[in-house]
Amino acid sequence: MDFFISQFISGLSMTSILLMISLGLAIIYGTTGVINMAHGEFVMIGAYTSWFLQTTFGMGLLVSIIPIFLITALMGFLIERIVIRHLYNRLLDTILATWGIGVLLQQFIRLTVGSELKYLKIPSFMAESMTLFGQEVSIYRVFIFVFAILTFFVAWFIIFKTSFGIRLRAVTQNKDIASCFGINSGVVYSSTFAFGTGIAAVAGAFIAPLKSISPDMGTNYIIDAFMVVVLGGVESLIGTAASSLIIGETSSFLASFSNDTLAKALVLLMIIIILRIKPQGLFTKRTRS
Amino acid sequence: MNKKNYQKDFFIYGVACFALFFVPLILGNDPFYINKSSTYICLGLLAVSLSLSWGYTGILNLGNAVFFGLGSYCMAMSLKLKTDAVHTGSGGLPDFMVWNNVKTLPWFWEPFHSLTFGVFAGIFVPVLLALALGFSILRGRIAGVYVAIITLAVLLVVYLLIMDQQRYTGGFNGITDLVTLKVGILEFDAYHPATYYLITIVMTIVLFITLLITKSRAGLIFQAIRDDENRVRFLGYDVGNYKTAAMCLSAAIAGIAGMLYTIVMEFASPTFLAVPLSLSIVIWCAVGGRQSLLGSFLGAIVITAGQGFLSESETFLHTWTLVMGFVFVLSVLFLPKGLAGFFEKYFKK
Amino acid sequence: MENKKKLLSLESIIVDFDGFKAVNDFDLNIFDGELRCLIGPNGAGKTTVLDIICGKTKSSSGKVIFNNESITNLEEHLISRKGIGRKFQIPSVFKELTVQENLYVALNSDLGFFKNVFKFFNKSDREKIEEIASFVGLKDELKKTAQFLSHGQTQWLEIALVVLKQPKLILMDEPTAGMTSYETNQTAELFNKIKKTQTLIVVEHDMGFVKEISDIISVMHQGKLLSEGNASFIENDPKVKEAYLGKKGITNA
Repeated sequence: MDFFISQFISGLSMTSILLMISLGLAIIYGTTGVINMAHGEFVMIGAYTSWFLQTTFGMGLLVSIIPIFLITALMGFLIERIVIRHLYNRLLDTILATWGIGVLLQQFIRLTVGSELKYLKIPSFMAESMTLFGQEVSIYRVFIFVFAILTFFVAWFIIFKTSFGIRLRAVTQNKDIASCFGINSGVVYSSTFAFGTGIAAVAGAFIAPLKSISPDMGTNYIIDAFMVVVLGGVESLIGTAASSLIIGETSSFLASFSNDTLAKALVLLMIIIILRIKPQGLFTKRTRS
Repeated sequence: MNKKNYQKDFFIYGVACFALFFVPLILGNDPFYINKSSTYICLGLLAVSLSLSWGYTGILNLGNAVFFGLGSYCMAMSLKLKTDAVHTGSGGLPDFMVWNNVKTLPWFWEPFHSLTFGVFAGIFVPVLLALALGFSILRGRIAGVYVAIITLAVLLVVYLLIMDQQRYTGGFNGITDLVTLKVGILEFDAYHPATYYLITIVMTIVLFITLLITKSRAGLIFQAIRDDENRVRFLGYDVGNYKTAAMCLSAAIAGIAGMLYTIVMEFASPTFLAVPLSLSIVIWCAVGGRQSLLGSFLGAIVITAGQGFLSESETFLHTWTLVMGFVFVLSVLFLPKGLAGFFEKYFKK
Repeated sequence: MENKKKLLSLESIIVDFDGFKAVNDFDLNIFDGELRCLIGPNGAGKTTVLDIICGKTKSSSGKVIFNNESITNLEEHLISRKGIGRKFQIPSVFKELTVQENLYVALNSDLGFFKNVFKFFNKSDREKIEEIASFVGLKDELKKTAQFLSHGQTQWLEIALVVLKQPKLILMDEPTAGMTSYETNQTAELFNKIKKTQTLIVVEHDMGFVKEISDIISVMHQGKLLSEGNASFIENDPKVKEAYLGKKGITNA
């Protein structure tokens, strides 16, 4: 029993990170149809911004959450306005354009900050461990988990309980008709993109102390995030949360038996099999088209 | 689609390939530049493979480098087993296996003692993987976007597996210290024009076969699938089969390119199946023109040669990559058919 | 009509989309050689019925029998090979290929990859293609890339693609949508030509067109069959008037 609890809890750590990263991606893809291949790079930018704020201004993690979100959201907004909005009639090309942007972001960091690994420390008041359900757990990881849930609810609230959210859902279902009702889909798309990238950056800031910071740290996360979106389908936030849980727990579980690599391979295999049965992901509705 | 069009295309391709044979003469037989040119041709062929699956059939295979890498490893394994200088221990184990305390040669290395097997494997193994991919993701109604991501994930997984199993694969270092390729009395030293000619000849043959395929009815069906796969289905064709076929052909071409690359580079490394290379192939095709085999080929050559010229220092390399990223984004926005498409439109006027 | 062979029959078809029944216990019988028009208000389920027949959508229950063979829920390409062709609401042709290349793809009895990789365009292919192109009025556009065709021409190209395979049954979904009245007339002529050799089911809204081409009209409403008969019968059926045509009848639509 002990084993399962400890397994479950360590899986939750991975789940919460996955959730934060994939949430932005799922929202962007679900609303605009844009596949943001640069999403991993926004995670990376969040990590580097956190590092920058800490080493230059001595700002702690908690204080920098808002600036990191705003800075990256602004970047996301600009990228959407300048590049992405030209590609809405050929969505498959957004993979390419955003991948190119990801390369630009990576190279920009390499050329300005340098490619050597950077390190950040976990904020001292969270560096200890606490006991949860009889297990020793790092407080920091609990914090991430709580924050991930919080972010999820904020997103859910915005989408389902605000007027912006209604406009967002209208535009998602039918952009043209929504325009006829006076909804400015351009603004909706830009804000969505900005929001999605902002959350990704905050996730990056949280991940930063766990491992090292490098210009290419984004690549790993993008594939994981996409696996979540592919598996969960893009029609529901619950789908994203559920598939983050499934993939997070499965990866963590498998990794404890074999190693990370084999775990990744098996998770990929599992996703392929599921997609064969339900090509649109696990949590989608059956519709006419 | 009439005889004149075919002839025009075959002529242009013929001229291009013919011109390539003069490169060693222009370079004055300088071994360094000859070697570099040989590598560019291999990469050009790699671009051709993506052009077939992406430009013609509409399958965005973000992990195309996996076929390239597998092909190169197969050739490397055969060439490694022929070296007699560096192994110790009975049965002739490759050096990295000795360092990793491997006692006997693993079963999947055994057949590579034969170079012929190695060459067949260099095509066969990528094609097998392509078949597996085809039957798993190209036959269901899985969206193109998801297929793209899954191919990338597959690439990553294979890369990680190879890095991980370093006792059998050489891991991070790859498979190095290979013997020079010998076929009968011909020796193909990586820096010798003979190797360049070998590569160019193989490339020309593969390119022309691929061109022929694109002109056949199957090639037209590939393009139809790219344009509207549902309509193709309703005309009675099994779209999944055709997509798998395109993927397998693509894999075979990439595998051949990989084998040639090993000969020229004199080693096989995990970087041959890493994400940056796979991304580069997409950029070459996007800039050169993915719907044209020759366009993609030339795109690859121009970009990698440019890179070769400029990247003396690391800063240069990073700046070059930055510029390439920028050019890539611009070409996606404004030149969806790449430079080849641009020229075609210009000449049609 | 009764002594003609029954070509297609739909029995108790239900199509359930997550609780919404787009098609609700629907029966339909089509006889060999007829031209049936399927009409009804938007959302009546007409396109879904066509989707069921050609395999694009799977039914939740019920049977589809074609030529005395059950084709219920088969794969599209297999249904197509049995002799059913479908023309879509949104014209779907191969936009980057020329008209000639489009037709070449459709002109085929060999469907396997290995046969087709060794086949190349030849003279007899050219002749057959020119014939069908003339039939639909696209003889002068053979070298044009499909995306540059007018809307009406794109519809005709798609009709040509479908007719080329000489299917026994052709499903046409709103063939005159977006056409000018001139193009609509051309299309009516075309259909009357096709009618001589193939059986057709046509979903349409343009009543003038329907009257010109159809033998029997089936009216759908909310997923069910509302009424069935020739034009004057439908025109006078009070159920149809109420649901669809309005009080003034077909001629004023």
